[in-house]
Amino acid sequence: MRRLQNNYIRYIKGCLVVSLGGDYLERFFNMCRLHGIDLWNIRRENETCVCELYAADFRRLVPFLRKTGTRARVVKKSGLPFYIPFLKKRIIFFVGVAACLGMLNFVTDYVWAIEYVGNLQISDDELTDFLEEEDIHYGIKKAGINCEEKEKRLRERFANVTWTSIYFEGTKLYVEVKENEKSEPVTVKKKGTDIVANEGGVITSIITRNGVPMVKAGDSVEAGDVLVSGSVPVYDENLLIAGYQIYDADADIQIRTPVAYQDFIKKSYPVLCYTGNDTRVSFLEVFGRHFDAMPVYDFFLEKEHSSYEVVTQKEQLVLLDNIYLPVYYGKISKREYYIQYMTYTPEEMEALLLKRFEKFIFAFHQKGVEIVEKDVKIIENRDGMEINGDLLVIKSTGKHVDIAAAAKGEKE
Amino acid sequence: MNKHDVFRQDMISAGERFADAFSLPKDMVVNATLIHMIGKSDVFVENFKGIISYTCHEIIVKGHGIKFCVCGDCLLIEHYCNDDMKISGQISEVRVIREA
Repeated sequence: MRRLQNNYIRYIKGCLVVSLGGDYLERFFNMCRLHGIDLWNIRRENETCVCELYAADFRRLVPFLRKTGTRARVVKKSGLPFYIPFLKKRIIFFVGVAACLGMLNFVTDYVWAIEYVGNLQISDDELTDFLEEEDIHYGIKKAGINCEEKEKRLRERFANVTWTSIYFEGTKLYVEVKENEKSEPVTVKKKGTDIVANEGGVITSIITRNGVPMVKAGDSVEAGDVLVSGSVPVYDENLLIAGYQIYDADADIQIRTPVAYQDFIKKSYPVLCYTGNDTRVSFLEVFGRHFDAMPVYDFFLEKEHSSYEVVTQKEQLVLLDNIYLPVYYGKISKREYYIQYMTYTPEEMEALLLKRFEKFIFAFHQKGVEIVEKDVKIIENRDGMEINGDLLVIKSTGKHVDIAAAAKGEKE
Repeated sequence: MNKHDVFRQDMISAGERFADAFSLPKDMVVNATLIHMIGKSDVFVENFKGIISYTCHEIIVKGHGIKFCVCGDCLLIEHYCNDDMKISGQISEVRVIREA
């Protein structure tokens, strides 16, 4: 039905607003109607009438206008046919917009970012390795990932994962996990351990909590000697050993042991001197292809010094917070420098060596090591200066080794 | 009333009787003008001959052997085509003018 011709059809066909003036407007309207020319929104405005009609019908009005002595003036043109010349002039712009939308549609079918959420015990690297084993990586098509299956595999792979969810937001793949916080790492029950000396020296004190002490304060030991045994003998009624109970030996053992310290500093040292020829260029990386103007700069600038310090700032293009595109942009700054060798004075070398030695001593204090004696000599030679120190320290010692290994060592 | 008018009146009456007898739409059988009015603002007119007069306050529509006068304020012909027309505005009166 003609009545159903709504504004959209009128827009597509194009319509005109016409102002009509004359004495026989009613006759003109009737003639239009009889010849199948649709008119709408006919309204009186003083002496004239304003109406709307299809643009294609306007030429058909001419004989009726002439016959009825009506004057017609086009007030407004609207609709798609009048917009086409505008489109034609800007065709490249519209093609560009269409190409951009097409490219966006293509790009959003792939994964361009991966984020892990909720993992505390499992590291990001472990999850990345898992995804790579499952053939999930940057640039994979989203349709090719079966999220439910991958979730199941993830739970199977990591025993402490109680819940997992793999989903997409835009072009970003989220791997969300919840770990069982109460579970502790599975510990293999030890078969018993001995405590052996880490280094040779004289035992200054030994407090045993578990096991049989094999040395006492004042004894000299070598590295690898058993200090506390985890094998506790069980005696029978005749005070003969009936067997052994195996424990993990536990004790606090202090040992007085010598520590040698040696350090060396060269007289000449390199210094980076920046020439001030800094270059900053922007770059673009699309689908792994890198574009920047640095080769052009290198070509035109003189290359007296070939050493550069290069700093790259790289950011990924993101649309609407979620759509990560395979487009990276940023800046590359290159600072040209050359290396100049400077020479320390003997006082500077001595001060530096002492500073390093003090740092070494401070680290010992931090670990609770008591320094009993120290004998430090600074010697200057042709290349630089060296420091030799002989320290006598009291420190805790002892490391756990399996009883079987310790027994084997003893046998050997 | 001459003979021709009497004959015509008889024919219309016969048509009306025929339509009543066979339950047919009377406007089709006797070629009458059909007017639908929606509230006091819209009037649909079908099966008419044309417009005789159009002003902001009055639109006279010619039907078959009869005229209709739609009176009111700010009258606007929303569409005007071969099948029907729609008049809208503040309609105060729809009057039938019988042709002599």
